[in-house]
Amino acid sequence: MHGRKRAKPTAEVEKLRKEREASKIKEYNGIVAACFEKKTKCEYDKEAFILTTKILSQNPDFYTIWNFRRSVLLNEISGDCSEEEKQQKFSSELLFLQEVFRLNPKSYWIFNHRRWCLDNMPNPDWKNELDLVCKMLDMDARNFHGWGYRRYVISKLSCIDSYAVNICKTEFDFTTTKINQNFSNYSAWHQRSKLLPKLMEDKELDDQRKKNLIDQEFELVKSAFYTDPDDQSAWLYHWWLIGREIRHISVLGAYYDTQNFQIVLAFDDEVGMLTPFQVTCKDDTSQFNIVEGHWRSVSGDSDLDRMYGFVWIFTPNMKSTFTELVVTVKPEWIVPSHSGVKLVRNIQMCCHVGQLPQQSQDKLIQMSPQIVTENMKIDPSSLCSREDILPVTIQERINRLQSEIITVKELLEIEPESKWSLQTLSILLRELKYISGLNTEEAMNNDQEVITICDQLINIDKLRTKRFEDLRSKAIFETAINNLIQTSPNAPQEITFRDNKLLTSEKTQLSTFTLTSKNLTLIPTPSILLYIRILDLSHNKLTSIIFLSNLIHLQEVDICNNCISCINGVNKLRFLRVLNVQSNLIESWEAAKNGFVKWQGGECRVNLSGNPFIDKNFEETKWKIEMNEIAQNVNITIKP
Amino acid sequence: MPQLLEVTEYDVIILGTGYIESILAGIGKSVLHLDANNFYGGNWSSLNFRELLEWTRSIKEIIEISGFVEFSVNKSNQERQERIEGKKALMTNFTKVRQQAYSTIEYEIYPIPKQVDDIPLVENDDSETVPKVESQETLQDDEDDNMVDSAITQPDYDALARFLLTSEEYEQNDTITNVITEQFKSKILVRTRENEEAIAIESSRLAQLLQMHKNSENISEETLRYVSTSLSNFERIETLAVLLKESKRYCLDLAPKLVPCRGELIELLINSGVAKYLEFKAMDKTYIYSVDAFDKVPCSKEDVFTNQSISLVEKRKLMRFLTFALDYTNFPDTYKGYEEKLFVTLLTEKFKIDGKLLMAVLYAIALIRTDANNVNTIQGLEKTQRYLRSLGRYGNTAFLVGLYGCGSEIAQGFCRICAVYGGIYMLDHSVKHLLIDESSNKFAGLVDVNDQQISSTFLVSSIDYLPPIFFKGNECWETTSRAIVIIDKFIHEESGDASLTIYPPETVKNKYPITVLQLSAGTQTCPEDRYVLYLSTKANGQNAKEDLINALDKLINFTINKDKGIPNPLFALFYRQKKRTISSEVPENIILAGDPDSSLDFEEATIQAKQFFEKMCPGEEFLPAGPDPDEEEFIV
Repeated sequence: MHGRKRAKPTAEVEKLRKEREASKIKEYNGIVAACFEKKTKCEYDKEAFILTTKILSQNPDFYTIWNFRRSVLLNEISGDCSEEEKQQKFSSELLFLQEVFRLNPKSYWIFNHRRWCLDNMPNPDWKNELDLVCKMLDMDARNFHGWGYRRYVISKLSCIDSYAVNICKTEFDFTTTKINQNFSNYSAWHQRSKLLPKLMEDKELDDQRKKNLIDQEFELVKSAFYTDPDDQSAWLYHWWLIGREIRHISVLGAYYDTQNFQIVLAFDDEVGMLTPFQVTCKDDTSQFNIVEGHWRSVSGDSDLDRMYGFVWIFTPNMKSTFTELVVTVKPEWIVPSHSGVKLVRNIQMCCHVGQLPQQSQDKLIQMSPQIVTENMKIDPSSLCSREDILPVTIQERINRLQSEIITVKELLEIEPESKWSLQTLSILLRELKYISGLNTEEAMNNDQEVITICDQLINIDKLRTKRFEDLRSKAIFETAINNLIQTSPNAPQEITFRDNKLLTSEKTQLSTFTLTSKNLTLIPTPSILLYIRILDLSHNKLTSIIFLSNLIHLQEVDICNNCISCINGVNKLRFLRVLNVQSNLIESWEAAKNGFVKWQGGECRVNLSGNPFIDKNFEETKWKIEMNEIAQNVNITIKP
Repeated sequence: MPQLLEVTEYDVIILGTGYIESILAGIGKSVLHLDANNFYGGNWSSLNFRELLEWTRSIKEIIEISGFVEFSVNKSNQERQERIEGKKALMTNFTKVRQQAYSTIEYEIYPIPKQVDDIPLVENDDSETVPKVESQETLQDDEDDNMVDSAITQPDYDALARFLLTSEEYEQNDTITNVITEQFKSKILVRTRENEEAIAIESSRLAQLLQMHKNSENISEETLRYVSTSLSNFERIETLAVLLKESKRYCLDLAPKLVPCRGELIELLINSGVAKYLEFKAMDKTYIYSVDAFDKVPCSKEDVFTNQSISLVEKRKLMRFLTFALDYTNFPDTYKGYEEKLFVTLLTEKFKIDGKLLMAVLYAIALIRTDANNVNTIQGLEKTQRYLRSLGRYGNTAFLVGLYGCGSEIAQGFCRICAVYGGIYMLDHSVKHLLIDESSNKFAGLVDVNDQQISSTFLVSSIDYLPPIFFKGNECWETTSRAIVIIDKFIHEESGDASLTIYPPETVKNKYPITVLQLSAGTQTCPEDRYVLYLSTKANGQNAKEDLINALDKLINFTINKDKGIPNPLFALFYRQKKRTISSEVPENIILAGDPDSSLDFEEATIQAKQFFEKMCPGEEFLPAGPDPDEEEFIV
């Protein structure tokens, strides 16, 4: 018995084996051909069904055959087929799937067909479906198909009956087991995020128990990130648990420019217009009539159909002086720029338009507080309308955020360089700021903290430097705006961004905005600066000046020593007199020149010196002539 | 008619089937493998219950009757040296030499706990007359339902004990045994084979005890009390009978050990193919004792995550240390300046780990077996790393537990390799003399029990076979106090098939940490509803029992009042085991395979085996995989 050597199969054995295989292949090909013939002839009969069974038992990845099989099945159950017969049919189909599942447990087509069966059968047994993939996840705890299928099953359940509740509870425990085995299993956490809202639907559960459940979740996930602060699964779930305040788009304000007969409307986010906003005015009989005209975004390209912008201009068809203009924006008329921002559902924004005096060219544009409509004063609790697992009051949310801040700070004491902790802290601080008021002292402190965190993160996580630079810029910008409001005398204290009231002041300081040497990479809400005439953003890291297009009152712009690679967004700034783009990163003459095509302004000095395109062989004379051809009034400086 | 060997020349003769000897058997040369025992494993063996009692008796007899045997080399010994064919013939004495490896052996049997509504075994009935010792005929046949007669009351047993201890009449051991046997037989009416056997064993044990004390001038109250209780306690015989009945379902290890999931042994088992002869289960959990409570030890990341007894901050501190320790050689800056300092100092100062958590790291993760004040940072980190590296390979555990006991099974696995290569095995085969060539002072062969001379180039031998002449009598040996305890319930809930419990020093009046390995029926080492506890610690006090009893007391119930929640003991064996070293020179071609050490694993022993292999086969691969028996289907 012992010590014998392996003998190679002889040529004869090999030949026999090959012959056996060849006959099998021939047989298979025959069946496939027969099946395709049936398919071409649209013969959805029993024979066709048997043929598909034969093929799929050997090759479950043949998706054309699955499709054909579905046609056959549909044909069978159409007509006078009772519910029981249907159930029977699909049940046996599920059994068949279980068989072929063994051949390839990771086949998309098997799962696809199974879902189709369950979607079409009268009484699907969802619990059985979960048990089916259980084994799969024992073998590979992160199997994509397995978890995807579980999510599908859960999505089919609604926790209105105890049957569904029990399945969800069992599934919840299942994810606990999987997480305890290995909490890096994000699929399991993700599944929890699908189950938790379902469990909250359970009527048997009183509020206290629901709260306890949420508290337990926080404890569990804390335990995970304390155990391994580098494990992103736990942090991502934590982020989901905290949730994000949904930032609602709001109208910053609107005014009527009586000189140009135009309404200017500013949003706090870049929005797209689906339906033109409605403009009405009061007539002699105090009735509101619709004013006809057309809207354009100041930053949008009128050549393009899709227009996005922070600032919108309405030009009435009839140029006349109106009294008591009102702009109405319904949520369904606009689209937000990205998913982090939402519209306030069911609340339409009405904006009373203030008057812009004729002689305002040299004065600061005045906006009266009443331009904020009553409709915009939204109950703060309704703002906390993030798609919450469990609705909480503002105070509860503040408490939660504060306690989480403490937890993360404790962790940071031990792990000062943990990037996930730092990021989470920045999220928590910003969430707290959004909920507790934007220009409170606390909010300012929070912003300062966020800036410090970003500085740390920029050093720690080199691969994501840009993201943290942007986040940092947002905090710096918001701080600066807050300072602007608070330092200006007579600034009404109650006016905050949160209440969607406009920045108002009659003081000239407000026409100047200076934010230099702060490493800014972006200006998050340029529309806030709508009334600014002198803007100094020099010595930052801005890469684009396209945002300038929104600031239609700009007269002087200093943006030297940034990282701008081309000039754009300035050609419609009618009042621009000085533009300093010295020492940026403009690589070519064209990148500078093209920004002035269709120039609408008057005399303007543009300093382009210190940009890379000005090398030793620059052609100052030629360029000046070219610029003159494009924009007569623009005077460029090339030499320092 | 003894069967003589056809071949009398081998590359290697191996004496003993202990762990190291068995590994070396698989070296792929011509091997003769002998063992004086009739079982595999030698001092590393796994025995069934009956074998364990037998083993206990065989060693204890010598200890208690002859006292400790010293093997000092004296003149008369040297003169008595025989000469065979011009070679020096050194006499072996397996039984006595083996006995040196053990001391302070004692065992105790406890009554099996009864349900409350069970019929009491012994009725106290004072109205009965006190029978004389000889009057065993006074059996009450009308009480057949009761297994035990209740005629004798406690004071009478005292009298009987005194009588047996003092009476001149019972000088002979046999006679005393008979008297006690009769006494037991009169009370235990059900005569099953196991009952008879239990009576015989218990009688002979008591007789031996009496005989020992008879010679002493003053009989202590304690002795009297013990004998009296033993004589009256029929329930013990019942327990013994039960254990004997289920004897074959026990695999009790003399030196219980675990297999780290990453280490010398596991690699050897995989590479050599021996793994396919063996089955393992994962060690489930580790518990640590502190002030009357047992906590689960968070060893792995998953454990830390799920552990509810430590705070979030502690979780972080612990994980920080564990993550560092796993890969500490890559972070020399972290322990710079601590290299020579105590490991404890690194943990408390650098990682701020203290309290219970510190104990857990030191004794349950680094598994320090001595005093932590003797372990420096580098040693501590090495130990921790060894543990951590074992995690995650076979699930969330650092150790595997061998099914059917570890020692004999692994030894037999390697012996099968030897058999595959044509090695010859003879168990229950002893050796009379070792022959030494005087001119070269080399081992030249041996004379076996059949007076056959057999020679080989190398001799691999367990210390048990070494002629007494080599022992100088002043050796200082590493001594471990051990206990094997059979209980009726698990000691911790959710402890799975196998669990480890650690007592840090000074928690149960112990100088050194005590480890308790609990195995259940799932490991095939005991019947269902039984659990085996293996206790061990570095020897410190007077005897093994003293070293371990306090730890055991925290786990199981020794009192008469049976509590359903706490496990009750059925049997407890205490002994000390020594890892012997030989200070005198042995011929260079004799390789002495050592005794089991105090560690929880086979690692040191495996490294030793590797070194011995290198000595015998320099430059050759250590136990390459043998032919695969599964490939037989391809055989034409």
